[in-house]
Amino acid sequence: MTVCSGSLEHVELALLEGSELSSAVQAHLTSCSSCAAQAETLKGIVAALQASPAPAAPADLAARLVPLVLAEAQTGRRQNVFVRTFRPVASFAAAFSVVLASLVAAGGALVVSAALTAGNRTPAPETKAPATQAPVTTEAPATQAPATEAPATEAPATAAPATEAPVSTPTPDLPRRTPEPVSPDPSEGESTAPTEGTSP
Amino acid sequence: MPYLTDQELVAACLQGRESAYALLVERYTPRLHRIAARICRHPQDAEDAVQEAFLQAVRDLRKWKPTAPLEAWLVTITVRTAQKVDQRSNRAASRSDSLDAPLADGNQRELRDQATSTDPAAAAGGADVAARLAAAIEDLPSKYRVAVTMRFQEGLSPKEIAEHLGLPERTVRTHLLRGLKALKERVGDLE
Repeated sequence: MTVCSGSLEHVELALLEGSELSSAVQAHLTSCSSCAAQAETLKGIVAALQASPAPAAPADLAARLVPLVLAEAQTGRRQNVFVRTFRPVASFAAAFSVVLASLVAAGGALVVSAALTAGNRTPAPETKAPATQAPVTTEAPATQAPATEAPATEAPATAAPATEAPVSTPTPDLPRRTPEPVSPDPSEGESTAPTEGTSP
Repeated sequence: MPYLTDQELVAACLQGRESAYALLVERYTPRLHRIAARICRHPQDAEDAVQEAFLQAVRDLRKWKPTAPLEAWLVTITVRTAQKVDQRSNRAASRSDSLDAPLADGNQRELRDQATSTDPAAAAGGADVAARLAAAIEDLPSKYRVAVTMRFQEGLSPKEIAEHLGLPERTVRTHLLRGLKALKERVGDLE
């Protein structure tokens, strides 16, 4: 049985490749009527497939297709012209918007940091200041951390809360609250600074 | 228009010359339609596939590289498009089968009659063989039918079929062998 199935596989492969059968397979087919019959069936199928007429295209098919193809080509050319014209404009606009956004972000950060430093200094003499300064000291690292574009100038700003925090400490109510926020500030500032320092 | 090579023809098309597009369509429509008609089971689907293939080719004409024959590139687009169109049509037919089975049966019989009516062997008395073979091919799973028709009716090698279908050659050979076996079981002795 294995010899028979192997022989038929050889027949199928030979038909697939269009090659001749080996002498061993041919010898088996002459001695095995079952395999010979199946091989003849396969050969007949392939012969019938090869003899089947090629379907002819309708006579007017090309004539019907030409206007459609021309219309598609014209549409494509218009799109190409549009893309060629507006792609540089779009890329310039994108670059400009990125630059503008970064400038706005930097300016905003500077304004915020300046406002914070000013806000920290001006209310210091007031007695009610500690209530407003407490959240300022906690927010300071978050807002000052992005403002690393000017490290020389910002360095005092980051140090400012640490130095200013004692300014707010003279009030009797906040000796417990101010030391606690101040101590994590430098650690938070150090944790974010390297990531931003390495990013540019 | 003088004879243009593939490269000259594509260059003329890309320059926007309408006569070049017309020449492209006229030159390759017979071959592409024959391919599509082998794959699609309905004549109208074959025409739709050729149309979609040409439109796709025009859109992607800049992607054609002169290292490959333009006809092979177009055949690849046509084979894949025809498969999609045939599957789409078959799905629609199966949906209509569930709604109107007698009409679908009538269409199938009409298609098989069309396939055998143009066969000279059928006129010579081999109508039964041709009809059985046409019906068996039609009933093959799509991937086997495409492989078998491309190999034995279009004369493409397994490697060429693999390239057109975007499949490994080994897979195409498997499809061919299984398609042949399925045909043998369905058709039986053609003598």
